[in-house]
Amino acid sequence: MIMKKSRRTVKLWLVTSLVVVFLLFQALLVVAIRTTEDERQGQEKTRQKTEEKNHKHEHEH
Amino acid sequence: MKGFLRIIIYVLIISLPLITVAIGNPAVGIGFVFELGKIFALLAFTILALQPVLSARIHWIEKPFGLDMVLLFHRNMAVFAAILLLAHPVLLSAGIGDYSLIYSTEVQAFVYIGRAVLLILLIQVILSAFRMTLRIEFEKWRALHNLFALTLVLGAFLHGWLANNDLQLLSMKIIWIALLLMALSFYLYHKVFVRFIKEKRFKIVAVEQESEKVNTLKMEPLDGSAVEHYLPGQFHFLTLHREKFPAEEHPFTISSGGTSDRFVCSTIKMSGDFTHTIPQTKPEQQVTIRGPYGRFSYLLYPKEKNIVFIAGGIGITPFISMLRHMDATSSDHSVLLLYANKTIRNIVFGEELSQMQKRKNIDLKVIYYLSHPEEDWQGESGHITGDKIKQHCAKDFHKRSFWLCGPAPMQKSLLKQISDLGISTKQIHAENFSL
Repeated sequence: MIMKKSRRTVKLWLVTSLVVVFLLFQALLVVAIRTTEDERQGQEKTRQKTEEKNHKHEHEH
Repeated sequence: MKGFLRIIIYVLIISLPLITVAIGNPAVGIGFVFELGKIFALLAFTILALQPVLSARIHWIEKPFGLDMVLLFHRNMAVFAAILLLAHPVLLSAGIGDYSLIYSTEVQAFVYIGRAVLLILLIQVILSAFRMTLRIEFEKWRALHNLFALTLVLGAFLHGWLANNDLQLLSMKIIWIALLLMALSFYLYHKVFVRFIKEKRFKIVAVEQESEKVNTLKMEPLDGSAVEHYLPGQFHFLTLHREKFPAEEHPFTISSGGTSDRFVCSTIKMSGDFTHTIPQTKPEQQVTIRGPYGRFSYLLYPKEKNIVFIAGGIGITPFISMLRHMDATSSDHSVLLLYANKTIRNIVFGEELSQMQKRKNIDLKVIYYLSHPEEDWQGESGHITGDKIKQHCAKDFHKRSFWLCGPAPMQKSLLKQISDLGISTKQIHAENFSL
C-alpha cells in the first residue's frame, strides 16, 4: 500500500531531497575542478621537464 | 514558498567550506575518488555543526515550517551526514588503493578520533531512529543524544584539524573554528541560556480533572506579567518543578483559547511514566514554559471558513483551544467536530462543547463516535471513516478543510481515506506530534 503523505510531509521530503542533491552535485563539481586542475598542473610540469631536457640536450650538442 | 530564504541561508553555509577549498586550494588531490572522500567529510562536518542550530527551537527558523518539520529535517540531515562519513574512509582508501586506513592499528591519532566519531554517529542515528522499538525512555535518550551530539562535533572538528589537509588554508582554519563556535553557541543557548537564564517561570493555579485519566493544568506567570502571545492550537514545552519528581521537559498542546494573557492551560492524558504523575501536581508549584510552537492553528489559514475537525481521544486538545477562541471571538466559521473515543467516560470537554453549541457564537456541530459504546449509547459507534465524514458533510464536502489530530495510525488512515475521496492534501492539516 502506498502511504499517503500530508502536504507538509511531502514538502519536507522535497526540500530534503533538493538540498541533498544540490550538495552532492556541488561536492562532485568541487572534486572535478580540483582533479582537472591537478591534471593541468601535472601536464604543465611534464612539459617544463621535457623542455628542460631538450634545452640541455641542445646545449650539449 | 515560505521559508525559502532560510533554506538558501542553510545551503549557503554548508557550501562555504566547499567553495573556499575550490578557490583557495584548487589542486592538491591524489585522484578523483580520494578527493571525493575528503570533500564528503567537509560536507558532513558542516552539516553536523549546523544540527544544533536546527534543534535549538529558534522561532525565526521554525516559524514558516513548524517545529515538527524542522526537527524531522534535522533527523534527515543527520542520516545524510552519517552516509557521507561512512563513505569518507572507504573513498580515501579506494583512492590510494590501500584499505589499511580502515582496520590498521598503526595509524595516527586523528584516524582513531575519526573512527570514534563515525562509531558514535552510527549509534546516535540508530538510537534516534529506533528509540521506540528499542523502548528507550525519552529522557534517557535525550541525555545520551545531547552528550553524543557534543562529542561528535568536537571529535569531527579535532579530526579535521589534526589531519591538516585542506585546513592548511588560513580561510579554512577560520571557517572550521567558526563552525565549531556556532555549533557550541547554539547548543549552549538551547541547553543553558534559555533553560536557566532566560527561562520564564509560571506557577500552577489549578489542577482540574477532566476525566478519569485526563487533567488540565492552569498556569500563570510567576511575576504577574502577561503570557506570551500564542495561537490557539499551538503547543509548548513544560518543565514541572516538583520536589518528588525530576524536572523533565515535555511538549503539550495548549488547550486554552488564547483570548486571555493572564493564564495558559494544557490538558494532559495519563499515557506514560511522566504523565501519570500529573495528578500529583499541586497549586503554587512552579513550571517553566518554553514556546509556543507549531502551525496547527486555524488563524494561519484565514480563507478556510468551512472546517471539519477530526479528533481521536486526547487529540481534542488543539481543537478545544481553537473552538474556545472561535467562541470568544464569535467567528464566522462553520465547524463540524467529529470526536472519537473508546467509551463515553473517555470524552472530555463534552459539557463545554454542548454549551458552545447552545450559545451559538459559532456554527458548531459535534458528532461523537465510540468504538466500545455502552448498550444505551444513542450516537455513532465504530471508527470514523472517510465515507462517514463525507456523509456528515453532505454537499459541501469538497469545499471544506480537514484537520486531523489523534493517534498516528488514525491520522494516517484518515489522511489516505479523505484523499482517496478526492480531497486535495492542501485542504488537510495534520501535525506530527510524536517525533
